[in-house]
Amino acid sequence: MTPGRTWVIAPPRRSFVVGVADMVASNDANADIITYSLGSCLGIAIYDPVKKVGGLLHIMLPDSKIDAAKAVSSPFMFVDTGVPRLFHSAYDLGADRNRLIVKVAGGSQLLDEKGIFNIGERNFIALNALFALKGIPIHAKEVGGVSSRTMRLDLSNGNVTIKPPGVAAYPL
Amino acid sequence: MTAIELVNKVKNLPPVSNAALKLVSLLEQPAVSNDEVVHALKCDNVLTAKLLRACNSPYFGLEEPVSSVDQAVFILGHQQILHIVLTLAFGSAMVVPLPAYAVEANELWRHSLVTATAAESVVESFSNLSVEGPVAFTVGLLHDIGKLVLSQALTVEYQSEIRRLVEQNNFSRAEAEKATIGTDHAEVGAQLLQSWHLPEDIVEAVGNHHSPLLKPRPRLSVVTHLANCAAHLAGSAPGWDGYAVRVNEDVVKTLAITPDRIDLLIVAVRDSFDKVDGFMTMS
Repeated sequence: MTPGRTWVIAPPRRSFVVGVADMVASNDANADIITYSLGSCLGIAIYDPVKKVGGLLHIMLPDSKIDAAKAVSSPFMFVDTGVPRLFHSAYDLGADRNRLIVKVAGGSQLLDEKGIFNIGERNFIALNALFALKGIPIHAKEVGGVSSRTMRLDLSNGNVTIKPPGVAAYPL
Repeated sequence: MTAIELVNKVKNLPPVSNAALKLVSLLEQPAVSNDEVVHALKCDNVLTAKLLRACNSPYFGLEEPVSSVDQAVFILGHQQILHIVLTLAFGSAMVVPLPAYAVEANELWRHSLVTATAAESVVESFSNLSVEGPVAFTVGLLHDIGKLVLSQALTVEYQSEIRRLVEQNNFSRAEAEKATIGTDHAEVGAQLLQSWHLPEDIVEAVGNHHSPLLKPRPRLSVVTHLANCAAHLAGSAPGWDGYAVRVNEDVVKTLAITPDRIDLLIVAVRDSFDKVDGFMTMS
């Protein structure tokens, strides 16, 4: 082989996509975790900057009690069953609870005076209650409004960005 | 501008096969026979060819390839065939991006399919509405078709006025359209379907999906309204104003809807996402 110039080409960043009622946790600092169409659902991103371990959860509903079978088959659908699994997945990858940075986005609301359809708000109330019980602070949040959002967690530095339709992404 | 003026003015109306419209019209009958479905389809060679290709796609996993419409209807049943045909017939018109709504390509189409399957869940969950599944699927699929037409009339000025009303005055999308242009995407959709001579119930369901009729008895628009709300809550809410949809309080009251019932409906909508993905690959 003829000696020549050495080209160093950075491999493309990987993207893990989190579906609705789904979760990804990873320690791959060369990857992003991304979730689309967060509406009344909540995206919960956690990140340990020392271990570069993070996770992103996309929950739909506040409480798994409405469907016991779903609580087992799709635990990431609900706040009460999904959030503990997100944290434990990060702990399993070496994250330290006291270093975790927690960011929350979503919880959009339909225009509903009576509030029967206000799942976004009920989701956020359920999440706050759970965090209060466990003593977990939320470091940044963008909850409510009439847009859906795309949420991205950069595993190299823990930066979280939000992108509503028709608008450029911005940091949370 | 009225809905009728707008439909007459706009140049690009969604292209739709006559055979598909004929099938939608059949829904008005209390019972549809396989023969009628086959007969309607046979008038359209292109649609027939697409249908056979879809039936033979891996999604259905048939052991023997299907080679005729009769065979396809016999094996898959006319409900399934109706779903496939509607998907093929309206999909190509509805996959376009709508910049005036900040809706990207495929997004309106996916939302229509999610609403169609959500409508099936609604009539299952609220059986006292006594609506057939295929009718529910069809009106869910067509509920936002007016956006294809209205978006062509939304100038930058109209768009910014709509945005102002939604963001500052707590208007819903449809209310803001009506205040700005004089009509909204629901009325325009109904007008379009009427010009295609579709059954009155289906026109009603599309035209009133933001203002459902409950008296003297709940009409089909109650189904489209609930299905649309459920689709939005399951995350299918395209556009910058995806959640600027007003929930009708009278529907909530009349049907005695509780938060638990909504939650279960949304679980059902989420469960249909695989089916929606299947339809997306077909169209």
